[in-house]
Amino acid sequence: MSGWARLATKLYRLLLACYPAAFRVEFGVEMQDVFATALAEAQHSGKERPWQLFWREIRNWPGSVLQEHLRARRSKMFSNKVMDEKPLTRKELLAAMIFFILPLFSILAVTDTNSPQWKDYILLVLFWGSIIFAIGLAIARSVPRWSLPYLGFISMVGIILIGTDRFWSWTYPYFIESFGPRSVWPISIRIIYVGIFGFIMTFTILLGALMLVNLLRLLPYTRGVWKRIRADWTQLSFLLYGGLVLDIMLLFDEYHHEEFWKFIAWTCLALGAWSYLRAKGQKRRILALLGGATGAMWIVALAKWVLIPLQKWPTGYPISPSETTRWVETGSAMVSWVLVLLMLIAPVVLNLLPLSHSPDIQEENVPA
Amino acid sequence: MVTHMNDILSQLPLREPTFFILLSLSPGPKHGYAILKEVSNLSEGRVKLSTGTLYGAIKRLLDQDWILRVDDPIPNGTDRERKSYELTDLGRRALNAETARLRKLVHAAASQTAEEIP
Repeated sequence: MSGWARLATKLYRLLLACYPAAFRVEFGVEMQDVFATALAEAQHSGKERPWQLFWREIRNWPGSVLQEHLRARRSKMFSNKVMDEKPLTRKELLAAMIFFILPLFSILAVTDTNSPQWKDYILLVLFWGSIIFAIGLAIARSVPRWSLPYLGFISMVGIILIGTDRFWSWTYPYFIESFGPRSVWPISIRIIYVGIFGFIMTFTILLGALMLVNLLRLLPYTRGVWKRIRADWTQLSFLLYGGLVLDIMLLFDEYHHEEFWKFIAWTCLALGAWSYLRAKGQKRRILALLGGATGAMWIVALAKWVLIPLQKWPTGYPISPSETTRWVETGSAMVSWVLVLLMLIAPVVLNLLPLSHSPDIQEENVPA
Repeated sequence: MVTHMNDILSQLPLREPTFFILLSLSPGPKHGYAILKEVSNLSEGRVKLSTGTLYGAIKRLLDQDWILRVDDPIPNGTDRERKSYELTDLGRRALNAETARLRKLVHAAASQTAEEIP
């Protein structure tokens, strides 16, 4: 294939991105195939033929795109059912909601890790046992929608375990060198630091999630999951949403009297998840997640503002309960909120990208 | 979904690309590119479909149950499974109805022209 033909094929894929998502899923790959074949044949028939072919596509493209969007809108208006997903059963909804109840075990557990009691061990086993059991069940059932937050939680644990120290070692020395010891950093620099650190984490989490999704298409067993996510990227957002449960645990790390606030924040997440699972259409689904995340993160910010003066952290602890800390911690929670929203929206933006040249997405009847 | 002859008749006249697509599928199933070429041949190069027009029409015809998607009977030499399209009974009836309509037009035009020319 010549350089020009490669460019034309890439441009053609970009043009395809403007068609409605359902149309692209159904015909995108075939259309690319037909265009590539026609282009290859035209190249053998004279110098002008490929140009004529490409011009014909360009000329008809706006009309076709408009027509398909109008048709999609029309069929949506006449259809009351969700096209890409079956409604969840009561059991499935309950299974998803249990995920947001599980963190309550951590509230019940004694926080003093130096002297754990037998009930702490029981709660720990119950918590991780439930998570592992749910993931096992999810794998056995081809990763249904209810299981996505569980997978998000585990993925987040993995990324934080692997990434935190590494990102810290990349960013912290630079800030020390530039602004001196942390204790003398102004509020703005402290919040910027949290923002940069958080951005790196968010970017890594997104990259990791996308790599995971692409890995799913390699195995015949998991290809159905990939197809399902490809048809509705909000499912990836929902997977990442599960990680927020852990995020809230970490945001209150070392805090005292935070139990009530954590409970409220997790309740917000649970409400968002419930609305997501009940919502019809991708737009409503993503709005449900954004609503849940916003509620939870604002509760965290408010909690920090209220709780900081009540903290009795030991002298010499990196964060002392001062007025500056109050601003930094609350501001950082708001920065985290913005990053969380970006993380949840990013997968949905992928709907705008052209389809990859794969045979898998042209199959019909994407499973629920 | 169109099921009755009256419903088919209400869909007539067909747009030219739709007619040629149905006509190209009349001998047997074809994949997208074969339809594109056949339409060009049948129309003596007058109707050249873009892929957008072709698949827009295919989607509509699938929705109307005038065609259906089948596995391509001819292997394409790659691992990828290519899909073909086949005329359904309903689609064939629509094509026949449109052909009959056109035939009447041609007959009317021919008889009129014959009277005019001495």
